[in-house]
Amino acid sequence: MNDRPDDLRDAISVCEREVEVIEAVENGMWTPELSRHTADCPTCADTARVAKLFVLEGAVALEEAGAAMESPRLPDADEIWRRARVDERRAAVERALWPIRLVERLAGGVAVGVAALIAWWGVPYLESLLAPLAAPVTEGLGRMATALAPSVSETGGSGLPPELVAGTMVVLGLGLLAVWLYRTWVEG
Amino acid sequence: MKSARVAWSGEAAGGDLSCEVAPRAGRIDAASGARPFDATGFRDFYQATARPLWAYLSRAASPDLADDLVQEAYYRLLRSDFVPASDAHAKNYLYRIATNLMRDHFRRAGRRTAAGEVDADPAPEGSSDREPVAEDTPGREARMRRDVRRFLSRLSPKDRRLLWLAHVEGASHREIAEVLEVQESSVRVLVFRARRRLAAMLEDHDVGPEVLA
Repeated sequence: MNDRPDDLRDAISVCEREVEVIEAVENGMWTPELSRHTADCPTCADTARVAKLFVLEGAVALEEAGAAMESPRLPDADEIWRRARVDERRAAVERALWPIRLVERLAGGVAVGVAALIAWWGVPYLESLLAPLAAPVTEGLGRMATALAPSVSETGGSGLPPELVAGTMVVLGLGLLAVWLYRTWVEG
Repeated sequence: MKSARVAWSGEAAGGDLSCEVAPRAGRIDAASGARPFDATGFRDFYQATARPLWAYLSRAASPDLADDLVQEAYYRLLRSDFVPASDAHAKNYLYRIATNLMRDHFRRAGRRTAAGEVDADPAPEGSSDREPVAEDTPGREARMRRDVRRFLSRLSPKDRRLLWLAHVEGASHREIAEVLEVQESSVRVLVFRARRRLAAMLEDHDVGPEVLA
């Protein structure tokens, strides 16, 4: 210790009587000898000053804390407990439902994809099947498609056939209906 | 002041935090994964620790912030996976949560404002205008109390926390190290230096016990 520079030695010097000094500050029981020592020892003098400050301020702060606890600003323990339990249950439900929500989203995506594929590949096949009955139906679909997308019919066939567009919309609608039914079933 | 000191594990468990105190019956069951508190246990713990925690936060930060941080600290303690070996252990962890919340608050406050406009380590609010004692209260002690908040406000937040935990809470170096997340071996030096800085201010203003008059 003696070969340390002065400032470092001072930085870590402590007195073995510090605890006695702190107790004397707190309970006011100073012996003459301890008083003399505190006045002469820089470490103990610092300790006494700081301890005195915190004796005073600590008491004030605890008094204020008591008033704060009584005021409506702070909830009581039961309220904090309830809030924590509610949030814990909510988090547990979310964790349990996470796989279901994932499957739900995948199912919706698959339904839309399948509907699109059916619309893209299946319409000619359906047309051939329904050809005998197609005339009134396709005429109706065509009118519906024309009403919804007049620019398509006006371009004279530069876009998709209106029957295809209407048929795709019907299939997509059925797909979304399937998703909605599945969600209702899951939540039910 | 001794009556105002809240027992830490150093006092409650023979001075050795490494000695795991057996959990109270029905309160902690690590094998079954039960939460650390039941409603009654938490209420008791809250009653025992909320006031000193509020006092700590009100002086390390501000009374208004203390209101918010006390609630949040207990909430986070309940939501955490921490399973304490004893109430004293839980208290240590609670103070650590509260200290980190305080730091996060000041860090956010410093980031939100323009550079140089906010002191990210503010003094306790009301420190400059609070009158803890009525003006007609006589004596040196009354004068000291009026100046106390001003002296505390001149300390850095870290020094305030260190000295509060050491002097008001009576925490051991190990407990201070756990709460403030510093090396235990450095706590002694940190406390010594913080005490020196504060004592220098107090000496300049002739503040101290009568033995130093």
